Amino acid sequence: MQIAISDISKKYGRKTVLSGASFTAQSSECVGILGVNGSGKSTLLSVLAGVLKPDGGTFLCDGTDLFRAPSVRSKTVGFVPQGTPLIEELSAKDNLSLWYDRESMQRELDGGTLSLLGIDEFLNVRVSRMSGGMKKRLSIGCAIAKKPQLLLLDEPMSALDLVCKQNIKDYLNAYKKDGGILILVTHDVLELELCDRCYLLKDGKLCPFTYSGDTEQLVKELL
Amino acid sequence: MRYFLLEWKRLSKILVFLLLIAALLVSISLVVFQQLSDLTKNDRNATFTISVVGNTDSRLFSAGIAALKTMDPSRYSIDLQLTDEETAEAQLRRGQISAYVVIPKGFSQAADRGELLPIAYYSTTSTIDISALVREEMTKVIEAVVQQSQKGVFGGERLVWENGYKNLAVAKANQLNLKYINFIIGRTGMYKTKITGVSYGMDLMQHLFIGVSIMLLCVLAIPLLCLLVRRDNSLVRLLSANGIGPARSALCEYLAMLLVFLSALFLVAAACYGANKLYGLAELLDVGIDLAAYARALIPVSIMICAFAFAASELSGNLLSAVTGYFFFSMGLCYISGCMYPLYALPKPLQDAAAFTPTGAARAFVALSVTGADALVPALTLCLYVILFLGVAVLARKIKLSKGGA
Repeated sequence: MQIAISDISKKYGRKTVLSGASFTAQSSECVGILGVNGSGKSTLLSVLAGVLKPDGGTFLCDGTDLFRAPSVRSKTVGFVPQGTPLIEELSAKDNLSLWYDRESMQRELDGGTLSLLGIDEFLNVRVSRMSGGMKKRLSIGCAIAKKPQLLLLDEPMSALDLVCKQNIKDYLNAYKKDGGILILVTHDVLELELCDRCYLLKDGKLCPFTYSGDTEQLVKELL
Repeated sequence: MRYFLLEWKRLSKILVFLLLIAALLVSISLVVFQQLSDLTKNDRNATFTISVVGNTDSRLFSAGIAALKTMDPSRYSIDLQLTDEETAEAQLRRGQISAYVVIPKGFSQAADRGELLPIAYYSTTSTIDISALVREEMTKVIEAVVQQSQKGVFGGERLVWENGYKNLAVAKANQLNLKYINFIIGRTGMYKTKITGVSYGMDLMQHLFIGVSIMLLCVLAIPLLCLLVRRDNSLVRLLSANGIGPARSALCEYLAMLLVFLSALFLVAAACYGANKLYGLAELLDVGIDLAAYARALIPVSIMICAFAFAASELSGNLLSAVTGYFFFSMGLCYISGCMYPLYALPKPLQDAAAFTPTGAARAFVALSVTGADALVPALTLCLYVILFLGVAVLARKIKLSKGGA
């Protein structure tokens, strides 16, 4: 599978957030998008996920423009938004039931992706009593219910401890190996280790960037 | 459907808490209304001032009133005063008199002829005791008039007899007597009661009962409102990305909220029904309204209040502003729409405008429904408010989503 995102533009009133953002990605690839706060990283993911409508541009997936085919997009694209896209008062099982039918949930819990994420360990725990890592794993578990080939993640490892980060990294590496495409929005240089290619989002445009491990250089590039 | 069921499950978790709050509010209200009911009963034993207006110029009528005011034992409980209708109406509105009666034009002359002209009785209360007392007094006045006439009849008969027209005198006197006997026997039809009430034909107790009920419903929505306020929009964004747009997700949440709210009300109503069967709650309260019609009328009102609370949760940025904003706004609405006091103290345009506020329409709907009157206008107003509040909530959600970010 190959995706080609080209000339995506988005304005909030008179403020231009994205202007001609373009990149490509193919199976088993992870694309990292970096940028300062308010640069439009989350907006880009929201546009790709179908939450926001772009002002212009195309999002081709094996030749199909997903902006014009929402039903195909919802099957192809999984989205893990920033924050907690879960119902806090309910258990992990209840939250999963929103996205999975009974049989597929049981299948995924019995040695499938949900057990890989370790969700079977806290299936009956209420979300409000979960740790940040558990919530993030559950969010990913909800996002991959339709077995999407493209996964959009908005700061997936922010505010997590190292063990949780490693758990999620392991899962995302496995997802990549299975042929999935990851698009990762991040502030965290540790998350960049997952990425095969990185882009800096600056003035609404995506510029290719290679992270060499020099944080000072990265800051200069961001500014 | 799955999202609706999950939202229902989520909100149902506070059903017990909601019932506890409802039980507390209902208990407090019952105690307050029971006290008010007792006060009203005490009022019934007090002296009532009643104005008599209209065609009171007749010598016999004035004499009758004067007799009642000076000689009759009722003078200790009823103070009769002669005035004009405009003054009497203003005094009634201000609570300075208990009622006024309007004597129709030609009443005395008609009474002399043995004909009945109904006397109009105006009161702000439908309390049977006051009405009965006043009707009795009015009847006494009429009897006084009739007695005077009877004396006239027999005086005339004696005069005719003494002047040699014996047969004619008896026949005519009997004819006249028959007319008066018919008149006296049929005197119960001499009055008709018109209850203006403090609003929609209801007395103060009924007015407050309905107004306070609407206030309590507003308060009862607060726990659900707390659960509906979101810390972030991640879930809404995820739902939107999966084809459940802001309108659909908002509608699912609203319907779930409404279902839980109505379930709580139903359980409270069932508990009240049980308590009524066991302890005669309705008799204790003595509000005098059709409680079944009242309970039915609360359903559309609840639909509107839930929509209002839902819109407040969607418009607010955080829990504190949602709760305080909703509480003060809803209580303000209850205040200006007359849920806490009768509105007649306000100018007429304000009274009319109050009926079109959300809580005013709710009050009008319940009042007209329990009295069996046509409640179409307030029902339509309630529908419009439901559409408006839900529209505002969906719009707010769309705006939040369109702003991007987290």
